Amino acid sequence: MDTVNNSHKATLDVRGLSLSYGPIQALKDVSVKVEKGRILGIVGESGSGKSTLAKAILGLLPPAAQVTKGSIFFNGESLSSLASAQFRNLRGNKVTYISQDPLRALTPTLTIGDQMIDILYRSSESKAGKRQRIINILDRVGIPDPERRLKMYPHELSGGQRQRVSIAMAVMMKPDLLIADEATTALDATLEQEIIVLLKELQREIGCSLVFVTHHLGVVASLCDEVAVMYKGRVLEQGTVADVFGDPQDLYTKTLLRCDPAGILEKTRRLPVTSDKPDAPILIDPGPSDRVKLSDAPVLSLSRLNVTFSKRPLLGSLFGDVGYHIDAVKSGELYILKGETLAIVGESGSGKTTIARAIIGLQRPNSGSIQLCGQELTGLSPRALKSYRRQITFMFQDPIGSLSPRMRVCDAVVEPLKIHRIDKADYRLEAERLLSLVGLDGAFLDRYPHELSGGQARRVAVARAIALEPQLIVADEPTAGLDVSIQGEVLNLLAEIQDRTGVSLLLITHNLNVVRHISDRVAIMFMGEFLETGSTERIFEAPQHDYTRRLIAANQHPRF
Amino acid sequence: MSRRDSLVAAAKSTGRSGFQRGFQNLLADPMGVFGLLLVLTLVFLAVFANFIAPYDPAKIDVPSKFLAPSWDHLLGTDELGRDMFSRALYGGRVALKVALVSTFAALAIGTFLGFLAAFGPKWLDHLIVLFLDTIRAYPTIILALAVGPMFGAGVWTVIGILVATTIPYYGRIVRTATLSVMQSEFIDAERAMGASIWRITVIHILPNIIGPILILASMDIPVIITAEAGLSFLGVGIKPPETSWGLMLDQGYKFIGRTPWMVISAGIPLIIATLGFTFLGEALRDAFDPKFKREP
Amino acid sequence: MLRFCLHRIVLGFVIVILAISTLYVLVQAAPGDPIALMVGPRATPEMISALKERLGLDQPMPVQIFNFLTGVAQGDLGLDIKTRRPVIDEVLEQLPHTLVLILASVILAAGLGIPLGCYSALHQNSWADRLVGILSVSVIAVPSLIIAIYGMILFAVHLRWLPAIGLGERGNILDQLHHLIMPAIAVGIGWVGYLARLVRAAMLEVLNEDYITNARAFGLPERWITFRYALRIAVAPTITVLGIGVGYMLGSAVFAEIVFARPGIGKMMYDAVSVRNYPVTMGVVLASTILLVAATTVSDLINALIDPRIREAQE
Repeated sequence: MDTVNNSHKATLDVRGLSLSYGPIQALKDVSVKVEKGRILGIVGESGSGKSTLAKAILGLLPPAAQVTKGSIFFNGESLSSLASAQFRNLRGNKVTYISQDPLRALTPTLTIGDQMIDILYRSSESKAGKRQRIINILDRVGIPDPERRLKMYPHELSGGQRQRVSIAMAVMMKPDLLIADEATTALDATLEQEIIVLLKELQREIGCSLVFVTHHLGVVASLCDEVAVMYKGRVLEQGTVADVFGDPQDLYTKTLLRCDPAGILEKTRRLPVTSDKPDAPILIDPGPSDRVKLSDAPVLSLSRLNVTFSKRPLLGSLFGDVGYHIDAVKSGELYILKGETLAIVGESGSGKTTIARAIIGLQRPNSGSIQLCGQELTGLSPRALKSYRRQITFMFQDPIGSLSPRMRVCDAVVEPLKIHRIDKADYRLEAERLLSLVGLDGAFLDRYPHELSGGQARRVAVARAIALEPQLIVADEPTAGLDVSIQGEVLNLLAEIQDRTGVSLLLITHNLNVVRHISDRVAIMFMGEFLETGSTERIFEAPQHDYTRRLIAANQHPRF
Repeated sequence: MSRRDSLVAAAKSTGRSGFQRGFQNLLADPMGVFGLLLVLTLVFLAVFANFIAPYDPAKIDVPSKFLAPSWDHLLGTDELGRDMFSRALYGGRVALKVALVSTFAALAIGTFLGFLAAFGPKWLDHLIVLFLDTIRAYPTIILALAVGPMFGAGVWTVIGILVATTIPYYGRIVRTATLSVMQSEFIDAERAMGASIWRITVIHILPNIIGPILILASMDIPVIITAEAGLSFLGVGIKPPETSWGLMLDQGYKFIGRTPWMVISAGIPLIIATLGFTFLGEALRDAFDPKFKREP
Repeated sequence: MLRFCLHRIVLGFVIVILAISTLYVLVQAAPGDPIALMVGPRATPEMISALKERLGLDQPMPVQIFNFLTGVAQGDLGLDIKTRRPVIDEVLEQLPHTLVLILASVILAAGLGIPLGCYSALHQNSWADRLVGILSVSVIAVPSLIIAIYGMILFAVHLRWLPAIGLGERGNILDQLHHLIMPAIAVGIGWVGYLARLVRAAMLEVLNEDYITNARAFGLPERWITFRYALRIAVAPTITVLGIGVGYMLGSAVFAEIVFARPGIGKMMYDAVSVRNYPVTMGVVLASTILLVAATTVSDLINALIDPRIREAQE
């Protein structure tokens, strides 16, 4: 049996681990080490093998996965030599886990209390004692009124609360090693910040080691002591966060850091991308100064726009239904000039998507006006509205999901032309022309949406959005779900199209960093209201609202 | 090639539709191939019954009654000396006709009602769902026993009853599927581009639900065939002189004490048909993996 | 939960009332006049109209429906033409036999189908899984009529292992169970296969969920994960299917009762149809419709009990 001869034993020591799924090698000679009480960030883009590594440490890989080489040591003991019962005894006891999606990590048919008591099955404590312990830990992770929550089912809690319950479960046993897989990815920036602070506190209290798997460089910078950078199944470098981020040795790490828009504070129309030379200085190109054309009438203006969702109980009241009333957008005021980029920034539930849906005509506003080039759109009949729809096109959050799954790219791209009966001699040729404008070649014409990567699908969405040569493109979270290196490419593409055609852009996002460079103005939304609107510089340098300040702080991360 | 391998291969190739991929999966599944072969054989035998049948199915030949199966009479002869194999071939015609006509009619009406419920105003939706639930409350066979004699036994009564009781099956599925597709982003995208309701329905919703619904229909065909045979057995289905597998079973059952092989022979075509269609349907579902499940 | 129960039960009542009314209208509209069928071919038009008046069939349709419904609500299903006894009494006499048969089939289907499906899912792609798969699809396919007849020939006539006909000796539970075996298999075996397929698919889906991985990550015993965490969710569709399946089983019970000469509402129905005993056939349809609606309602309620999300999604 393998043993570690060192006088002190690292909590976790992965040595030369190689792992494959059939012919696919998921991990190649991976070595990482976490000393007692330290926090290691494992950072990488999708497909880098970081989640596979986390699952391998926990012994939770599907049966198809095979370790071909190397071993994992936990407190000096080789995990591969453990029988499955012994390994199981380690899990939930000495090693615990916080999973990616708080919405799906808890069993829907058991109450929070039942699930937490189950985890304590090894303890000989009385049921009342266990209950008290659970109440204490829920209180510690910031769940209000924990006694009442015990009887609740997961779906009755908010996303943030569910993630706190997951954390409570993971720290309840005071483990030696805590593994968190993208534990904050699904959360808003301000909430993410709170959870990170909480995790750090809890880790200090217990004195455990923490492995934090993420794609988010900023989170690593603010949480971790050490970082391991992964790419295509390999660990490229491991060291203290200050060393790796301050003076990256590997080319890929350099590129990754360079492409992170949070690291670029000057205004530039062109973000660095992976194909650039990694060592070259970042080009700051503010773009043509006369890009935005001031005119008397803005391209789009909203005034006193209200959208409410409500339901009056009718028959349901017989059975105790009380109905609801939500103000999704409250007296929204907004305008966009020709050639301008405006970003609406807000977290989930702020009403930013509702306002976008109202602009493109998917949501009927309850009152107020939406004017396009001076023409009032509210109250128009669907037939009359159709001709104005040509002037506003939309890019949805999920680029693959917004393409009809049984339609090839060549048809999807020219779909708007067909809808608006714009005749082209050869639609396929037109599709090819549009694709070339967004940097895709003709090989993509016959692909189906599921055969596209996230970045490619986003380009197809851009091609479709420009097919009608609109006045305004509304883009909902144009970089959501994309790796850092691809984000820049998509934003650069939008900027380039704007420079060439003078189209106005309305970006809807929760991420301040990605819109900072491309936007002329920013509007901050919170609980259905615009808190403040101003030039990007003004918002960042002199935020007037407390919430804006918090939002900016949550999006900033320590620099090295 | 295992099913997994074929899936990997299909995922790698580009420009291939879900249909082509599903069909490859089907051919990689031995159960699917088995079902497909049985069904193809059955359809062939039924369509060309008049060429294949060795005897006239209605020809009475009393001296050679109750003959056991032999090379001359593959399934033996009945109490009137008619060749059971020939009768089975013609019975297959009736079974397939009833199955196809009922399935198609129920599918068409059910799809229409499902669309109407999904697109229509809320009150209409509630009304249609209530209507479908009401029809679903009748047990098929028992309803047929009660109502069948009033409308007079025969092919069209059988078809009418089977269509009526199958409509809720399709109506509910089409409604659920349409509502779920309508919630997807690509439908929002179409609406935002200004596409008409017809364009959305015909070009975007229909192609996305028709495949799974056809698979469900193929899984319902053996149920219909069984129901037709059952009703004919009970005397409220197909009437002589037409032939039906259920009638043959009824005949054989009457002589179960005297010559048990007669009812055994009569069951064979029915078993082959239901096995073939069920294996094919299950394999089709596995191969195309529709997102929504069978909702009986 | 209370609200959900109330909602489901009220809906059940509405459906029963609608179903009965629709049936009534359908029967009156049928080309074969039930009254003419009742009185036979030699009746004069005067006799028919006199009978119609006596039965209230000359009144406007809504009044007729209302009268019929109030009659049904008071347990008045008319008189058996042959025996002159109230139909309700006859139905209540026969119904328990059919209920026992269906209950036995449900127990067979759930008791065998759920464990088989669960085992298949836990041993995915093993030879046992493949075997269960092929057998399941086969038993789904073969009609219960065929299973009843072939079973009768093989086990009762040829091997003489099982009794061929009847309910069994009155008061002798063992003998009655012995007589129940073949009919219950004929009605329920297809459902064993169906449930096995269903549970297997549902289990595989649930076992892939994040919350199962999470439960494993906390080292919970595999037995808990299988039963307490996964199976509980995976059986939900099974319960819905069984609820609706009662309708199909009622149909299969007709065949089983005929083949095995077993008393029950199916056999009663068959006998009544052949002699055009119209009030009895209507009585059986009503009883079985109510039974089916009750079964689907109960299955909905059980589902809501298992999965808290269902009772809230219901709106």
